[in-house]
Amino acid sequence: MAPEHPEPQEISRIVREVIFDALQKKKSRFKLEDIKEGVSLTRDLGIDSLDILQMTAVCEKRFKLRIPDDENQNLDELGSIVKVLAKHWPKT
Amino acid sequence: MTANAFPDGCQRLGANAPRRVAVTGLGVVSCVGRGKDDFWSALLARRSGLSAVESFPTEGLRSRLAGEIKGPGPRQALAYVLEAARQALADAGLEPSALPAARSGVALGTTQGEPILTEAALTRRVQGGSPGDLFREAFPSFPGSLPAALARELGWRGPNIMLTSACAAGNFALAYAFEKIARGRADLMAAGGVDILNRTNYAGFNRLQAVAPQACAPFSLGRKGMIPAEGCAVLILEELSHARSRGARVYAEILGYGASCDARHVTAPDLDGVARALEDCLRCCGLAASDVDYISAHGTGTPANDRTETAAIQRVFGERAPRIPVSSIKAVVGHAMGAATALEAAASCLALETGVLPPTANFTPGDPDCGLDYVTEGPRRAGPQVVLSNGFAFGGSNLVIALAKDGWRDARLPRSEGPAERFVITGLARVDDPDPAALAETLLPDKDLRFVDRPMAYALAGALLALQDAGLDPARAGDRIGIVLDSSGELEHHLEYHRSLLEDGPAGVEPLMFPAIFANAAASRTAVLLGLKLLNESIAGSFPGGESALACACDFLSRHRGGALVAGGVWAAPAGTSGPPEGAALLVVETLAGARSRNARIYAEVVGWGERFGLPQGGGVGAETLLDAVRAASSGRAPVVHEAHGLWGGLMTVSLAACND
Repeated sequence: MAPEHPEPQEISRIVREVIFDALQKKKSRFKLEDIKEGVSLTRDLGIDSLDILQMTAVCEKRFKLRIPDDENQNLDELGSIVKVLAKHWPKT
Repeated sequence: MTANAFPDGCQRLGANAPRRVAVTGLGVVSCVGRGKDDFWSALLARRSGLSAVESFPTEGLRSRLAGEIKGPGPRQALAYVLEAARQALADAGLEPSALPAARSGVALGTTQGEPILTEAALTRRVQGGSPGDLFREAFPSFPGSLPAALARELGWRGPNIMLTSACAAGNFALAYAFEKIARGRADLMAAGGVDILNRTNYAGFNRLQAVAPQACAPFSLGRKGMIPAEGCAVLILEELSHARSRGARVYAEILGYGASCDARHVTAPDLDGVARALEDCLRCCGLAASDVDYISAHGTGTPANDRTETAAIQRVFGERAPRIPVSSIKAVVGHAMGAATALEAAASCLALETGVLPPTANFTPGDPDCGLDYVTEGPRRAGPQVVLSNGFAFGGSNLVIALAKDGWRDARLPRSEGPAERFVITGLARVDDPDPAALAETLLPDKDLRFVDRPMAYALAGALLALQDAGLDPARAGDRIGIVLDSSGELEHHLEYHRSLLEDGPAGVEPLMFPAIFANAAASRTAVLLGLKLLNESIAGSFPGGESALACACDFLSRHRGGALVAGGVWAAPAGTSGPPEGAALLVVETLAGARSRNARIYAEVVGWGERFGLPQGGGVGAETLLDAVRAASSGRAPVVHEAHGLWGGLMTVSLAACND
């Protein structure tokens, strides 16, 4: 369940897990600690745009929220995904 | 000569002198009208057929627009196919019952067959129906039923097939029909593509952010995507000399086709793959870049497609590229999926016949990645002689066909393919592991196997093992290897996808799952993960399908003079059902010369095959019986004639013998 008032660090921790899970399923050699601020998911970690759409879909389902399409584009860093998730956090 | 004086039978010529193939009839059911005249006038007037969707709720979608046909008549693939075929036959001046039945066949392409029926069956399953009921209810909507139903309606008993290579499926059907006539296995084929607009597909493209919110604007600055559509086009393909002898109008001569597989990504187009398909088309048709006067673009209007297609044309045609007119009709008719390339082939025929190029509608200039001549001012009188029509599909499956104005090739030397090829089987694999996913994981520990279902896992493992058996390493030789696969999905991904759609709406479907529900997913994932770049062709599950796949593979190798193809069938029984033993039965086929040049072990030679249609529906055995026949032939005691009665009423006979010389 999504926490009602999550700290950005908490969102960040879960998003890193989602990214790491995808990397593992892609049989990537990158480790959890490689996923950090300022790292490009596409250029540095070999994740493509369809993978990113899949990751944000997993986050949407996990947190029970919806990112509008126009903001669900060019998300290429951990920080940008965390930011857009925080913005659309369900108001309970 | 009367319209129906069609000679009964014809002498089969050697593969070194293929017969020529004409298009003599066009039938169109589209969102801009029924019949070629309404279709063509809408294309020239840039009169869009896109409208607000009425057949399913559009809540949660980026757009409400689609190329939906508002009637009259049912929105049903079979109804569209029958209507378009009748139009095409009338247009060709032919009465189907007067044609020699055994020499007349059907080849269609689709992504989904009858999706409205499939969706209804899936909905009942989500609401508590049994797995067995799902299969029984969805079964009549399987794609292979459509060409069978058309052939029964027309009384035809020639080659009969449904090809399911997603959005290039129409072009695959045209290429298949072309080969059947060129190689003397039929004199006349009704060939085309069909698809029905449906929520499943729309939601998937929507989730991939590939749907344009407002208009479809191919090659434009700021373009946002495609608009899904539906329709059907059927073309009558006929042996050229016969068409001329009966005084038929010849819209175009089909010169041939070229194919490739990106082998890179399941959804994203790839410059190298698209360029290889164009190059292959020029090479196989004996065309120079300077011969091409017009390109009917795949032109979906997505940023990625139009950028990639433009760059591929620039790479292949070099300095000439800016002077070749290129246009997309998808701004007007939308993207009709498996029907799209058939509609575009019909438009290309009309461009050759009238000398007028259809424009690209909704165009806004200024995209730095789209620097070609897109025919944006309106219809252009250009008198094209040679036209290419592009088709690119999910799975990186590309097929480009080349058409010429009637008479263009008469002045040129007849093209010979050289000595007739001989075909041999150099690899075999039967995979029936009860846990194919675990097997695939063991065989391919470094590959991304997300959303690999059982048919896909069987295909992956089987293809890899067959290639290993043939002594071919796809990592090193993937450029020269392709796949032709007959497959039937088990509906498990489809069910999960449908459940998400029903429960959470379009936002609930998983982006990566969408390409996995396509009928070509097993061949496509195999081609992408193993890096098979020569060909990626899917046949709708026909039980047995290995024989059809083998025949398609031999035709392809004849034209392409080399390479190796994995061919066969894959089947995973849906939960709650029984059927033929499940698994993959795949073989590797290549030319005798190719096999000899690498000192490959040869199991057997494919001496020949025959195909006809019209047996009762309900045949069907596992493709492993074909492998048994190959093994029996390889023992060398006597030639083996393997006969297989397919699910929809087809019969294939394959003659195999030990290769001793």
